[in-house]
Amino acid sequence: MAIEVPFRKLRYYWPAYLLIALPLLLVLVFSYHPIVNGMWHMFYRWDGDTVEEFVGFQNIVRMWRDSSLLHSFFVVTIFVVANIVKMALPIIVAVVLHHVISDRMGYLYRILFVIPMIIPGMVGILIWKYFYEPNSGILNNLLRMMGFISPTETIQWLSDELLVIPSLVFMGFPWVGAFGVLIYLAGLQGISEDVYEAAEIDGAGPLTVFFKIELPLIMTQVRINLILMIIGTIQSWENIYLFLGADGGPGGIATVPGLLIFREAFARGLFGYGCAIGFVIFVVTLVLTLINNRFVRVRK
Amino acid sequence: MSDRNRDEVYSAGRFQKLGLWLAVLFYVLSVVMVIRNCGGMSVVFSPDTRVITIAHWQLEDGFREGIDAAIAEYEKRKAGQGVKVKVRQVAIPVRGYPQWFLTQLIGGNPADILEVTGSSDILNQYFTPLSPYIGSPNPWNKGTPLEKMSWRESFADDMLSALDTAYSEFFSVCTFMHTTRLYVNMKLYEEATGKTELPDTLTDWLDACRKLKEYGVKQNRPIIPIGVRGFDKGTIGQIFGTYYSELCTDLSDTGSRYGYGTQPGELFRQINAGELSEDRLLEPVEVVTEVGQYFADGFPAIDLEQTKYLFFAGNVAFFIDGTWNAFSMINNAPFPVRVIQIPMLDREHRLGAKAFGRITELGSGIQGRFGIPKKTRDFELALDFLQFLTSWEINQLVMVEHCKWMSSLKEVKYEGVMKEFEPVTNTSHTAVSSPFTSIGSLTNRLSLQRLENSIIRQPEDPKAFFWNDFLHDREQTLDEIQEATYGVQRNLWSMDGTRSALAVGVILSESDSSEIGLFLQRSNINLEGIVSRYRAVDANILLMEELGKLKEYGKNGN
Amino acid sequence: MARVVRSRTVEFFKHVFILLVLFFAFVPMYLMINISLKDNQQFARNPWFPEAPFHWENYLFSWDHLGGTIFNTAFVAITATVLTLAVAIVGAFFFARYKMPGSKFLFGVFIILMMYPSVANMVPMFKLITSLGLYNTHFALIIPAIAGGQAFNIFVLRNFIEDIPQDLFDAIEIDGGNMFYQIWHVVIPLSMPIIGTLGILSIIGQWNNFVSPLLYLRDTNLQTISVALLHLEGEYTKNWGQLMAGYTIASIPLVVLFIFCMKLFIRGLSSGAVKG
Repeated sequence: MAIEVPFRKLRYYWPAYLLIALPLLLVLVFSYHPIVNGMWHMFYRWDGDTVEEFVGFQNIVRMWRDSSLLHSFFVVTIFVVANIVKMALPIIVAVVLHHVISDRMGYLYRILFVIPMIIPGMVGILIWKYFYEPNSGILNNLLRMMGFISPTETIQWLSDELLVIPSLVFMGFPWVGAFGVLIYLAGLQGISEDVYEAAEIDGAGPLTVFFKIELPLIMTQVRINLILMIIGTIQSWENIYLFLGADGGPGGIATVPGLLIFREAFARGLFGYGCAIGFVIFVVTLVLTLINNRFVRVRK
Repeated sequence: MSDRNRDEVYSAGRFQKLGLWLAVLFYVLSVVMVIRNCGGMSVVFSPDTRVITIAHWQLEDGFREGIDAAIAEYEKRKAGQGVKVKVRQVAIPVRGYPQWFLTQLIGGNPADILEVTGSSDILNQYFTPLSPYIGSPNPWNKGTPLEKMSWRESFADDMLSALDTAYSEFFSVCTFMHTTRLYVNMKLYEEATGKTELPDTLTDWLDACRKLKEYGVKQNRPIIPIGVRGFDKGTIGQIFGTYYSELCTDLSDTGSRYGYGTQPGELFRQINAGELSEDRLLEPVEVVTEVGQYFADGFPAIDLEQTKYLFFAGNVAFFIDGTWNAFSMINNAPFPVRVIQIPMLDREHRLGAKAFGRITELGSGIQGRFGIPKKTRDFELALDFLQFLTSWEINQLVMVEHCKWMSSLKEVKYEGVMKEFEPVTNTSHTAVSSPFTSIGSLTNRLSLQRLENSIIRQPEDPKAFFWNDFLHDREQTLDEIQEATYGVQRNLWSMDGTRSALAVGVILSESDSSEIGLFLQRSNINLEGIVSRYRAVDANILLMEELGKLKEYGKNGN
Repeated sequence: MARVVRSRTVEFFKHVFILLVLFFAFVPMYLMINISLKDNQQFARNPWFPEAPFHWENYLFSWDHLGGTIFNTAFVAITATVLTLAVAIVGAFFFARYKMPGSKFLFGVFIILMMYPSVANMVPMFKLITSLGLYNTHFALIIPAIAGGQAFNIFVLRNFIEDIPQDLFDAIEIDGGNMFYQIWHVVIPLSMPIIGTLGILSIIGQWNNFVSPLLYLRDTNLQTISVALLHLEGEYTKNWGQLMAGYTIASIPLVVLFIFCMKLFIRGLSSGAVKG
């Protein structure tokens, strides 16, 4: 319950603004100042330091001509779509967890889902890299053992143009993080007993219950996870850098926009151009978030 | 949504309170430790101590220990001269180094001696030109065999590797030398080929690789004839460079005693005029494509560590790598390892008819370039330590004794296996660099990518594949040249300014004072720089023109 | 919490499904600990299962390289987290309790920050840090972390505080409590679970962050554990055992933290405050 403060009452309530002063100041100095500085420089030929020449829209024209930029947005679209599909698994896990009868086991499972969260991300990267290694990696050895490929045959998971992106998409299986599962679970627990009883009287099967009752009621959680995931995916590039190097795999096939910024700015010193790409990423993220908020309907 | 869980004020259990107290205790302990750590530093450095920092990405065994030993020795000797100095060493993992390096320079608070990386423009902008200092002897070489030589002459390559060709300037000096060698798993090699003598020529090498592959099929085991680190394309670039030089060394510019190779613009002009066939430049591509079919499947995704792992597991016959980790390679392998040079392109090979044979490695693998940023706070001391580090005695101490690496200096003697690493010097053919790899860093990256694609796809005609793809990326290359030209022009403006300032200095100083000599000397260096930059601009303009005129493979010159 | 009762077989399959997912989720952790006790030859031969002899000396070796950095990391992570939350609670309280003119705009000012890619921002940020004289101090990590954490934390906390019943605040206001009194006596006690959850997420983030310490700290005596781990990798990659031992050591403080805060954490995430 928030207190509505119209303009005319501002006289009494203005001290409330003081509450926001400190966070606002911090954000203005340490977030907005560098961001605006960066955005400003998209109109410059800028090496990050002393070379600052105003070039007008040259960087934007360059973006228009840069085929790798378009390609990178195409690649990141694939990742976003794949991640949307991947979101199904935590939802299913949460629903199943919700339906486990024993409360004690349910709690134990929740604790178990939380524990893998603390493993540093680098460990995952190292292990997955070893997993895909073509000559003696886990995956190919597994396929050899099961007889799908001959002992001398190798599948080049990370250097075949067709396989790189699917391999990256599969990475991190089973894609279940404690964060997602527990948040969905919280939503599910808000569904009252009566709803389930009514559903059973109507003779609804588990699938009907899921699509007609459970999914709509956790839509608010799905939406926030969707937004966070989209923001995270569009901005991410470190994993691909660590996995495939700055080139982004064979022929740069897995170059995402963030990696492109890294390459243009830090490898070539074209910081002005990097800032311009950064601005485009920002706009795309903003638009997607707005679309998401508008079209993913939430029943309040 | 649901208020179920928060209808009462949250009260912590006893267990959680214990946890909280533990956390507070741990935090207080951390604060104490942090304060002690930071406080400790300020006590060590009394205000009259001069402090400099040296930073690099060499995390290999022994390097940091070697530098530490050099620092200890330096601080001792300086103390002997009555100067209190403290040298700090910072080692940054190579993966984060480019970002770290650039942000340090841009942020204006860099280490005083930095291992340099990145483009000529970056070096020119941020690093102190060392040309005024290289003509006189290194003071720390007194009493050594290098005593009489200038600092420049004391290097095995007369400092050529440190020369920035784009700016004709020395922004750094080199500290060590590496050559590229083949490490051979003798057990596997003998089993597969039935021979004990190792291949010296490309024909023999390819033959051995074929046998190794057949052996793998027979044994039902994934054998990799040639192991390379594909991840950073470093090795591919090296193999290409080797065979390019063996085939095209005659394209070196005879007018230049440094043998840089004819400028790309000139080569392209000759192609457009029909004086030179593009085939000449592309034959090495074909050789690399042929050698590449014996690389591991999926090599572009295999990094150095994985390649080493495969080598130690006994799956790799020839492992191509520099001599960085040579001793760990030889000592840690559970089988005998021998070291040979990259086999030479010979007359029996179909492309070898015009090959020139081995290329001198003199000065080719000299690396570990350290420079002094313009924004250093103690240039004098930084330069002094850099000279100390590249003095005959200390460089041997660091490199040869601690790292088992080769020194970048003259007159250094090696023993044992290290003799295998010593550069080839008994030939007069000099290395040249191809236009594809020397125009700029982006073009180089794209060219290596192209080579990689050629190896993976094994096209019918690798020459046509490579050339047409090169032309396909022409826009990007032109862009890069244009960008570099802007850089040179900017540089010219600032040098013009310096020139006027020096002229004013000359006019204002007394005609027979020592100042005027200094001004005149600097003015000469400045003028040379300006001339070489005008040449660079000219060369770039020619290059852009000729590059724009190139036609598809086989259609040039008519 | 009783649900639709089904047959035992259905219940059995639910457990099987969850255990299967858990099994995969635990593989990286298992491999990390398993490999940390192997030398390279054991790793090459058999990366999957434990096998004698166990190389406990891997831990000693890695501890030598990492031990000193743990206190620095703890100092940075805890300071940054506590201050981030302190500032964010006040900010979230404002948005949750007052609908002032400009509230919506101000909220947007914070939320929009989540959408700017940080890689495009590295150089301006670095210049700011150096120009404020923060370079090579722990504050170079702490202060930007506080600023950067505001958007997400304010967003989640606002949802939570909005749901606190009005009468609790009313009761206090009658007693003459001002805004900070309300925060201290109503908001913080009631939001403890979500604060705990956000705190843990923030500590994990700070603990594993390696880009800022790499860029902003020069002296080794200030360095944090994630950078020390990078060194371990660059230097001794030959030895997977030591590397994994290093990562295990780095996660132990977090494990201890989790053991104590498990209940709080799960309760916070289950409270339904994280929603769109």
